[in-house]
Amino acid sequence: MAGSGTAHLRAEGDALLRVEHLVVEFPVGPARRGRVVHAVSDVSFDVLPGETLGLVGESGCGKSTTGRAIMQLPRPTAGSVRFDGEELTHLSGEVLRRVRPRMQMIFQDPISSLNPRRPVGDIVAEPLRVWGSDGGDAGREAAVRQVLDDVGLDYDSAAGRRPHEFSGGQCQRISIARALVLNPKLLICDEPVSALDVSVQAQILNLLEDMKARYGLTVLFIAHDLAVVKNVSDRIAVMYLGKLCEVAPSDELYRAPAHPYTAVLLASIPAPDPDVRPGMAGGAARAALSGELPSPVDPPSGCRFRTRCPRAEERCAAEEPVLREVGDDHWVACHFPLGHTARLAASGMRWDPGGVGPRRADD
Amino acid sequence: MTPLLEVVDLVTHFVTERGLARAVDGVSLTVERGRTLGIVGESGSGKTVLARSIMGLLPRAGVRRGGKVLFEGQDLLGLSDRDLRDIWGAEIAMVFQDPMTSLNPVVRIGRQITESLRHHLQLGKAAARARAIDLLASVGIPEPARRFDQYPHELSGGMRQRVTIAIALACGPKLLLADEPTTALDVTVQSQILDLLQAQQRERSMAMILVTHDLGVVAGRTDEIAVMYAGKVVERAPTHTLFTEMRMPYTESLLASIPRIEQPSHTRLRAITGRPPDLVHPPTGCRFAARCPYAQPRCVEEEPPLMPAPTPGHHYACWYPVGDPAVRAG
Amino acid sequence: MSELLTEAAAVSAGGSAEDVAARRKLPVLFWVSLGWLVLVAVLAVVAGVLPLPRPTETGAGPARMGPSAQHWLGTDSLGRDMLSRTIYGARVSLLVGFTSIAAGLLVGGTIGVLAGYYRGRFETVAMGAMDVLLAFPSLVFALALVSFLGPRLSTVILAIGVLSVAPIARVVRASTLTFAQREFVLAARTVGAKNRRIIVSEILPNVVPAALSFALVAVAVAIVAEGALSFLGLSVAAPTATWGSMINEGRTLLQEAPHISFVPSAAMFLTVLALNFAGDALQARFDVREGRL
Repeated sequence: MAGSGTAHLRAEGDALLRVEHLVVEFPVGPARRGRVVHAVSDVSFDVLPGETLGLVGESGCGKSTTGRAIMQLPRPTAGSVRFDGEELTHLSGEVLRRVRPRMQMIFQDPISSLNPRRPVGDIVAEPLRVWGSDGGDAGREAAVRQVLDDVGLDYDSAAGRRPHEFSGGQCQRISIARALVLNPKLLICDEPVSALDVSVQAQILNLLEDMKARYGLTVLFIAHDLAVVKNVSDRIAVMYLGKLCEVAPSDELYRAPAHPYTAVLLASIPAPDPDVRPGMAGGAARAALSGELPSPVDPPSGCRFRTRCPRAEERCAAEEPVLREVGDDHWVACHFPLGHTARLAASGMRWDPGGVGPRRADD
Repeated sequence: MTPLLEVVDLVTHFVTERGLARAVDGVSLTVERGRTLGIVGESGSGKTVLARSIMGLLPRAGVRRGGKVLFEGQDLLGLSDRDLRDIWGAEIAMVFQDPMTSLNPVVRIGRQITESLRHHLQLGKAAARARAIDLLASVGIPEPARRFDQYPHELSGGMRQRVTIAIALACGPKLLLADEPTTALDVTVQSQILDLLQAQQRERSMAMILVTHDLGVVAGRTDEIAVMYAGKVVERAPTHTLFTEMRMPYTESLLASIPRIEQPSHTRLRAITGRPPDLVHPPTGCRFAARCPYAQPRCVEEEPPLMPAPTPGHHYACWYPVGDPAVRAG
Repeated sequence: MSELLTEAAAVSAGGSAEDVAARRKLPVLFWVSLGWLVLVAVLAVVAGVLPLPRPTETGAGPARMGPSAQHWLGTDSLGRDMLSRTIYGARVSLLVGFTSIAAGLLVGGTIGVLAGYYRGRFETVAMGAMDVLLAFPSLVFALALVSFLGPRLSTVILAIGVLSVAPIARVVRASTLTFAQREFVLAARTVGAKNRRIIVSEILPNVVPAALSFALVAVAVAIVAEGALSFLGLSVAAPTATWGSMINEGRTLLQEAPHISFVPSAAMFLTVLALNFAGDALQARFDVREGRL
């Protein structure tokens, strides 16, 4: 996969966030050897106001780095990040600081993202204190009370307690409250549910949808689980080894994946249905993904997915595919994208819609 | 013939400053030779403690235990640590959630495998090495001879989990306990590891207990599933029956909370509200009642026993089970 | 196994505030240690108004006499009252111990926090300097300083204070590093908090408790170090009483009057032990449980 290109971007004025040719590299080993990890290589995408863009890929694909590079933490090596009409990569420290409240982030580890020594009320009020909110202590308390209530926590019983007294799901609610207390426009969620049990995961996903509606948020949702991403996203961008593979509306991506890697990701989702024998489902596609993720220090030439791709040919090594449109707003960076028949073959019967689990009769 | 593993009314209570935490509270299970049992539940349901109680891996201090863990008819609870060590690895082996912490970071992976081979099978150095390399190859590790001399940090998360599986399989155990073996891994790697476990289990006709919080993980890969909630088994059935004719509302809720890839995006998930009960002061009646959408007065007064369903091998603990016409009438 | 214990703890989690308080109760040993430290400190402070002979008053009683009704802890070779000398000696020991470590904590702690938080070149230079400091033979350093500035209390405090900077800086930096990489620090930055604010409200609350409990142990080491220096005659000049010099004075009389060395040794031993116990107990107390999910 591996694609570069900006053809999939929408009209510039429309997007709340527009990332172009984003590059993030980290030095490895002795500085004089000049070796770098190509964490993100020429990635472009945009998010319209009110939209949820899902960014999906495995560990090491650069999706979290992308999220942090948008926040300028750390600043990207190259490329442009336009947020709300401002080019963030050029902003000085103080000006950038003033933009920060408009874009907030939620992290994967609910325990690590809360200061263990501070009471929850303080943690959630901290952003207000940083910005010297109006209304003083009373105003702050009212705001914290409101936002905790919004995320489903009771101020009176929660505010005085420390994070370790809460469950993982509750800690994630506190993180969400902290992110929302400044009324941001953009919320970047970096694997917000992957540390949680499925039952709690559902609560948090529902909560994020509710908060998106209530606070009028635009969301960048980063995760490795395509089923989770699809549940909350309008549009999904698939990443592999620092590059974009495919960008499409969620339902379209699921219905007709065009990139072989997307097909693999879809086939890997464990189906909560005993009639889908995992050994068979998407067997062809999965067998293809036998190898290990190549090193981001020395990524493959051409298409970065070619070393593990069942459809790879010589051209894939020589020439890097560029994102191009294969359907209505469906973009893929692949020289040999899955056609309709090929898509069905690669997917087996695995994602035949209708195989929904048992339901209560009155459901 | 006695079953391979028979857990009878197992009780594991932890002594805490607040009182007894009833982590496992009267669990009975049977695993036949070569069969696969899935144990499913949320964090705090006691599933991990159950797995460790079966292994006998819990400390003796501060733990109250009861019941029986019969492995080939022998009660493991009565064994000394020394006798248990002869069983661990050789008869029962375990794969843990986090491969980074279950591998010793400063010991080459080869030695971590040969250790148990030499201990249990009394193999010589060269024979153990050859056997270990075979094992690494069999769990899908490329260039096993080179990997043999590497340290855990030189491998990816998926490869590390393959190594822990190789270690577990080294002495050909009759029962493999896998505790959330894929929770720390990516989805693509998860399916590879589950495939590997399944293939090895069939090839060696070994019995396996797969502990997880995700019904999706056990759906296509187990013969039978036990659903745990607040220290108790609340439903137990052959896998297919469980998914098609579940009776326990908790099972239904767990399944409903999984986001389905085939649903349109922005489909609202049916989350289970609230959190599991405090195991020091568990509620009277059904422990799930407070979160159950179908709870009735009787549920909070009287605890439902594990009762048989009309479908064979199916047990559930609910007064108003899913799919019961009487319930829908009321 | 620790994973298991946290699981057990998680199983029992969700308790009320009193449960939490009960769980974090300090052990009896801590209170005994604290009692001893408070006793020594109070005696040292009010030494002047106690009905005791002056510590430097020779011939307050017969020389080398064991404990008696007049002289509870006996007298030394010059007939000075041992109780009085021990209490006045505590002044020196505690003053040296706490002031030098307080200074070391201020300097070393600041260096450690800044190095651990900002990393980069500052860290390389600062930690390099700390390594040099650690590599320097401490006794030679103290000797040089005393011969240059004279055997005064302030010199001893300066010497021990300087020597404590490097170990404190290292401990604080290591602790800062672990917290600076946590996501709550990143979260504070995304909110727009400035570095100073992040250090003060996110890093310090986590680092200070660990640093303080380490400092208590360091105070114990400093007291022993002062003892060693005065034993070598490098501390406060005679006839001022310090525990180290008292032990030294009794050294030649171990046969006939062992109590002259034994009394200050016991005082030092108990104080050092109490500081260590208190430090350990505080460490455990401040170790915030971060239960699993």
